[in-house]
Amino acid sequence: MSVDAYMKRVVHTCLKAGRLMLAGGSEMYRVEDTMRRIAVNAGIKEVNVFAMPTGLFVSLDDGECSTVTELETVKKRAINLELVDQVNEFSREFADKRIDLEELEEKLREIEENIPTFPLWLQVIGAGILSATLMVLFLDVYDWIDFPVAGLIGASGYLMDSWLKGHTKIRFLAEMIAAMEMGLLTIIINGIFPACNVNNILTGALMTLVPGLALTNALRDLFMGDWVSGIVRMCEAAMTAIALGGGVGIVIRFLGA
Amino acid sequence: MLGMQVSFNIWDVLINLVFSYIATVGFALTVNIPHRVIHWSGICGCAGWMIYWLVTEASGGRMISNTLGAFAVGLVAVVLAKWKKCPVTLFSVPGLVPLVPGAPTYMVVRRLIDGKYIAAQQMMMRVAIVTVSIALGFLLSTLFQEAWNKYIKRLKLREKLKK
Repeated sequence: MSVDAYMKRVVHTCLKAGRLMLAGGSEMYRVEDTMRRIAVNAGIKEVNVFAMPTGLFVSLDDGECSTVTELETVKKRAINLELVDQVNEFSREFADKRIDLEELEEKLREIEENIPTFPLWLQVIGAGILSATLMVLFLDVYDWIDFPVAGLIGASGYLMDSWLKGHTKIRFLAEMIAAMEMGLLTIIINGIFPACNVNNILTGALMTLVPGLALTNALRDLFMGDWVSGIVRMCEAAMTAIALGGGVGIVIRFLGA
Repeated sequence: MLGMQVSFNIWDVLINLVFSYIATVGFALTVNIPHRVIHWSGICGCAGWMIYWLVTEASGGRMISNTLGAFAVGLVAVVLAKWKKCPVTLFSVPGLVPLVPGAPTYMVVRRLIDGKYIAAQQMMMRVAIVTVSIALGFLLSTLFQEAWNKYIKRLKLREKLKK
């Protein structure tokens, strides 16, 4: 294989690994580090990588005459920390020479084709127990009447959000409509059972859509010096919070509670 | 805060312990944590919340309790990541979720809807303070991580020199 063809293969492997990690919701410094390690362990002398939330650049130099630079945009995103962990593990194995470049390519392709996720019903149950338990923790009152209702509404909101995400390209719209649905359901339930407290239920239920990943990653990116992605993710977290608040606000304002 | 008398109800402690664990595991399910670390991410969230709760109960104030809670989450996350050999994010993302100021943020929205702008501003300030103190605690734990890495590196270097 000629040098150029080999470098092209390395670039493509790097980009694929980086894209999978970025789509899974990794922090920037880890994406850049993984791509750089793969290239260095493949025997490339000079490696330059740059990652942003929307795209990746890789530039390889063999130290003589040829340079390969490629860029790839990342549009599709699905928060999946298992993907981050797996790609990280493959890169470790490659660094320890347990697998070669071909096997690495094969493994990345495999994981790209069937991304490991929990089944949707388990995620929905997770969202339900999250909202029910966090409501009790946050309010510091043992409000057992609202406990199951908050779980139910949180689960329905999460289901709505994940269903809408597959149907619309507009960011934050899914969160807003899910928040509106949660507000509507809460007001209906409050109408049927007046013992329920709308504010308590919504405090817990909205936590299912809270941008926890965006906020944590934004902080980590900022502390590691990745300004662009840190600020972009801060903005994402803020926009998500505004979408949630706006959605609930519209419903409560118009229906009254 | 220090030297203050704190009386605990065992029921309170138990509820906080169990619920923070369950809530963290619930969030971990929604972000697809690998199966092998799901239990440990719950432990991480539990540690952070318990530190936060204990400091709050000891009348530590909003800022210090959030900072210490986030610091605990970061610390536990780093230790677990070294032990399980996986990215720190797997533990710190679900771990920070119980500390997110959900209740005050909802109250801001609620007061804006009711047209109480001054009260909403006060609440917004509280949200800002809590967020900043979580960031501060997290920053301190990143510092700890760096110090740890340097220590390990030095340890390895020393062993190499001995040989």
